[in-house]
Amino acid sequence: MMKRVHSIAIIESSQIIREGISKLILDSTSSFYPVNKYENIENFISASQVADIIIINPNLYVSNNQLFKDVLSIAPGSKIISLISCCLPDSLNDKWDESISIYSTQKEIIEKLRGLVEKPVGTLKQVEIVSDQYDLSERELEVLISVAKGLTNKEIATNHNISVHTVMSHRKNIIKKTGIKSISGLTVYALINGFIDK
Amino acid sequence: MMAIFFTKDQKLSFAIEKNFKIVRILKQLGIRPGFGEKSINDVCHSNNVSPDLFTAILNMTTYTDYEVDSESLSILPTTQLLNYLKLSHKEFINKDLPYIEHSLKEMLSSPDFSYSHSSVFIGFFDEYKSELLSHFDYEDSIVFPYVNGILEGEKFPGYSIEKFKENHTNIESKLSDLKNILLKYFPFSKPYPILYDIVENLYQLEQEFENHAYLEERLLVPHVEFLERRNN
Repeated sequence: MMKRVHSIAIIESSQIIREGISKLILDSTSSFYPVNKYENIENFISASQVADIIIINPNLYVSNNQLFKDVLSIAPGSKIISLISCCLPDSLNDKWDESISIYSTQKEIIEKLRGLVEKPVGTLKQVEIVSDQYDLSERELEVLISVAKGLTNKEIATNHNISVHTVMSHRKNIIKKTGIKSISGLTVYALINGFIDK
Repeated sequence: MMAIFFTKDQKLSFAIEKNFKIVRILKQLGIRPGFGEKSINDVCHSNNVSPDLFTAILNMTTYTDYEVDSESLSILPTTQLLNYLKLSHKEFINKDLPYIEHSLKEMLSSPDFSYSHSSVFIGFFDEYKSELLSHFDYEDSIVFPYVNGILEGEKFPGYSIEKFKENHTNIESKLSDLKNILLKYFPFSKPYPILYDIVENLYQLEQEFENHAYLEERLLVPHVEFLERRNN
């Protein structure tokens, strides 16, 4: 089972608050790492470190909205958590994925972080096999047919005058393109598509 | 207030609301329904289930970053854990697999499919099924009795849980092939609702297998390693 770690950037002018939130997160779980801290938006931008989640105090951009847009543009995929320390104009409210306050408890903060990165169990999982290409190449098809017939890598290499290494790389591509990993699964695939006879 | 992980003093009903997969755990631990608003701790006590074991299973099934600490690992009730894993095997063998097998074979016996396609696919399923059965049988007849043995202080020269750890095969990979072939490559001439039901069941079973293997590798193995060290 894969364990995915998510990075965090905290942008907050108070050192006590920055360090405090970072410690609360790091103490309670190993799911969030690293936690980078920035005193202001400019520092965050010039560091150009990607973060899955950005915790930012809206006071840092309330008077200059362009700064917030800059954050979004350098980190388009990041989730934004606002760190509320005082009353804010309503117009700011809809820009965040989540918000916490300086009075939030450790549990609340972790729950909110998790809520942003974890879908309910089982609905979203890491997909290991991906290929943008669809059809098997002519060579891959030949290798597939040989695999389905039960030939070893060495036999396939000899028959086609290629190296064992090349055979293995074709096999990896076949798995990526079809999503089928086992030899018997590939045999079924070849039979159903009429590449081989029973 | 929300908890970071499930704790014993939370309501059982709260945990279930958060993760409905817990319902299956209740069944396998033999917990009586009708627990009202009782805490996990109280429900466990009145059902003779170890609250530590129960919360460990709940958390490991729900949170991927949950780690059991070494003290809890050492005091786990071994027999209850083994029973839980055995009952999970029974559920897979007597309920999940036959259900999928039945619906699959019924679907493929329809004249909509060519006999050669159906028989090739059924052959693949049967092969997978026998691999699964021997995987579970190995654990039921070798690994679990071994654990029971060392619990009683017996010595088994030449065998340790390390062997199990090294050879614990992945049973999900062929299951994934089954559903990929069925969903993407099997020739259907018209929409086939039953097919989607079967594929959904295969996905659920795959997740159950993953959770089950995770408990065996992350809970049973370290616990047994502790017992082994204690014996030597």
